[in-house]
Amino acid sequence: MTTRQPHRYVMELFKRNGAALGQVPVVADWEPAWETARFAALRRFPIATIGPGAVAELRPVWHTDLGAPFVGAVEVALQLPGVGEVSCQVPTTYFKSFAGAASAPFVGKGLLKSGEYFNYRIAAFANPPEPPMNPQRKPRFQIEEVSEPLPIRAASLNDFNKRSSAVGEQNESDIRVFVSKQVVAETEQLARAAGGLETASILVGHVHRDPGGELFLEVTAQIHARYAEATATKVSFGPETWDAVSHALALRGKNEQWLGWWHLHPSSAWCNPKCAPEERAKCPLQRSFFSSDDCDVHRTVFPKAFQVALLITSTDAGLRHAMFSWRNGLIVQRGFHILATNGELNPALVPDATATIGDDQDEKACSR
Amino acid sequence: MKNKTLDISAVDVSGQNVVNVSRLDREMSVGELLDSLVPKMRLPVLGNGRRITYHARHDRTGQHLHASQLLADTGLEDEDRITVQPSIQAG
Repeated sequence: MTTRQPHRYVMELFKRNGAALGQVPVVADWEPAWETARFAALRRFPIATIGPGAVAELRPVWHTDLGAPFVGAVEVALQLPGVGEVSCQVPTTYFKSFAGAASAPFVGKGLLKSGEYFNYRIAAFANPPEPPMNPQRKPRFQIEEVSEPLPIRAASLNDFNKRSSAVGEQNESDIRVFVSKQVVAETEQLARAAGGLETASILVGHVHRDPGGELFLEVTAQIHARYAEATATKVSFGPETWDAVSHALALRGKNEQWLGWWHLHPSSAWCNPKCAPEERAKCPLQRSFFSSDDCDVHRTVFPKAFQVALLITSTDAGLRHAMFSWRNGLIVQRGFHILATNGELNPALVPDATATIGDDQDEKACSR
Repeated sequence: MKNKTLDISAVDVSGQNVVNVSRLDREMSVGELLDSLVPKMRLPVLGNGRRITYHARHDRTGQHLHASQLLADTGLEDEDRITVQPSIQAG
């Protein structure tokens, strides 16, 4: 897929009182935006891959009140020769993760205090023509993307719906995700056995397409990341983790795909044991949150627009479940379905929780 | 006599992102290859303000290649595949 960016983007920063701080060129990670368009095409058209002839372009959507050059959203338009065109929009909150880095020079100059809230807006300007390649600078290798088709199986969405129960708030724009009851039971067993440490597994399974064209996921198994290093507050994945998961997946021999991951926040163990139960129940550490480190793992290892993350929070009141995935280039909380096994209908629900994402405030909020 | 260059493929840990890498200079180190390859595979370089470390695994032999090794010394041959693996932590 060829990508085009006819515009460069600039972030303007303001103090909360409206005083302008300055402008910073946006250095954005556009991959989640491109991936949003790729997956939108896979959902819209009966195809399993985005061919090398596809062309994607980022286009500013001008702010409805302020007009050009201020941006209200960024459109990702993807043309697939002989197939059609899709477009989707990423909101300006896409730039939130960049805003922290953009504010650093202003903190350095004393114009902004460390931790002080500020506002930003995004402007776009046409890119100047690219300078010709320097013939003296020879690339040390050539690289060509391979268009690997996504293995998609035929299955009835209606059949899966009949055998499942919904957990959490469902958004109709999300791809439906069915997690087998057996997988949920295994995650809960591992969570209870973790002994106050974090733990994690890779979620594997299949991508299905309904005869009506709709794509959906079936998580068939979880492969415990047994070589991940766990502490009470971190779980670290390295080469040994990935090797073990790949070998286990190959041994299963079911052509299952990496659909995501789950990990545990052992919140009960984080709280001060001397706190009264009623205080512990209100403690921010007992809330579900998807930390900025968790966002990094998801972006690095699970960047496909369909890949999900299940978070289990071990609270004093029991295990709480929250699922996250990509939506318009951003990681958001979403609902999922628990799929019954052995012909059972309507499997029992699991308790879900509303989570915060990426700001780590809950992690820092306990002062004890 | 071996060619001065190598043609291999590289894949991410999930196996869902594959690239062909051709005319690789055998005198390049594994670390130099990863530094150039990671952004071209659309993998992030920075996470939470920190540099993400990546490793290369030679799939045919199962060996983990050291960043300072020259490609000529790794045993990599044409049509071999490496898996690009991050070291990363969730919290």
